[in-house]
Amino acid sequence: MLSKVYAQEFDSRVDRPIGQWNCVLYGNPMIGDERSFFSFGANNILRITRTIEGAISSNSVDLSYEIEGNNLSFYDTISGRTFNATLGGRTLSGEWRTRTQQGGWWCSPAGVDEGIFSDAVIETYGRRLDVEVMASPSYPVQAIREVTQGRVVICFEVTTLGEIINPNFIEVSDEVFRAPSLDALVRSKYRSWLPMTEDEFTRPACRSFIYRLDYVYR
Amino acid sequence: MRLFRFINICRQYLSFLLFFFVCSQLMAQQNTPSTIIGVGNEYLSAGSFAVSIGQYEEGIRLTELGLQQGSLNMTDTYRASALSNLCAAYAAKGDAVTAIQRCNESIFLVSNNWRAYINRAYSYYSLNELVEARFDLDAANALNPDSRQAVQLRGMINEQAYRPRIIMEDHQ
Repeated sequence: MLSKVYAQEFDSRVDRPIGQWNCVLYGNPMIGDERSFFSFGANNILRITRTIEGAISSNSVDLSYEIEGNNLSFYDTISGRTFNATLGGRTLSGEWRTRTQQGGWWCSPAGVDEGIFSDAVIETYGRRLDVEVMASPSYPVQAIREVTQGRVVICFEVTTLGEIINPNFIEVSDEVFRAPSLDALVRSKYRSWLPMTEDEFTRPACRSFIYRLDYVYR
Repeated sequence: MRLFRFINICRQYLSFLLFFFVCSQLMAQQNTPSTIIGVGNEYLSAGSFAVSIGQYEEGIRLTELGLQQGSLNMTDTYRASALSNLCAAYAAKGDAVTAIQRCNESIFLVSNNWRAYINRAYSYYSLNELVEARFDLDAANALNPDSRQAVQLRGMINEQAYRPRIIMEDHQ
């Protein structure tokens, strides 16, 4: 379930998702955030393995996925969600929908096969990351002046030392929020989550920044 | 002959500098809510110029003199513009209460002078009465949707009127 640290190649685009991916699914208020392992086969079969409560469960399911043009889609029969993604970007990410809800997902390439780690390592991996430094962005003055509100979602990888690498913008409602969000993210840090010797691994995570303005009546 | 030529060049240089200085002052004051009027009344002309370069006390003195001088034969439009100028000068000087009185008089005479509404909006903004400021700003905007001063003032009001909040959520 771990992926090796890799330097992002800016000209490498995901045209076909064949391979293994470490994924974060977010936006479900009932379940909370989920981590899953997506394994796309060349035969249009997708195997999803979910991590639940600090350990990898045996909850694997095989689904079929479709690629039409540059649109990837599949239906998760267990959670009842339809997943969509636009291929051709630098990462594998998209949205999921049910009849009443919607959210997002983001994957980083998994550099190693599932199951080669010890139980202790997997248990460590299954835990939530602890934030060591949570830097807050500042609300851009220009956005206040123009009464602009919005939302930014950035997905990234966290090294075993807790450092944030390879940030990717998944959603930017207004360009004015791009710089302060990224600035806050790169100033943040997590606690290390594996022994120092295992420093070539990463795990995916995302952070949402919701910019709101409250009118103060006078 | 050489000395004469040198003096001539210096004179040209100085006049260029003076011209540049006046221009830059005028440019710097463009955002101050004011009205440039006064054709035909030298006090009002001088008053509006004084206001435009930031000499508010002098601008008020000259504009009030101009209003007295032309009290008999001045049209309502002229008087309203002069009062709007006075409003701007008082507002810029920090006397927002007097500024609002002058703007009220101006708007009472001519109700479609967008500058008077902006000047009054700025005065209300100075007093932190943001609802009234916004109301006047809307009126100014309706009369002149292209006003740069209105955009700038609206930004200043929004800065006071809105409290920013950022919610961060981690997904992992």
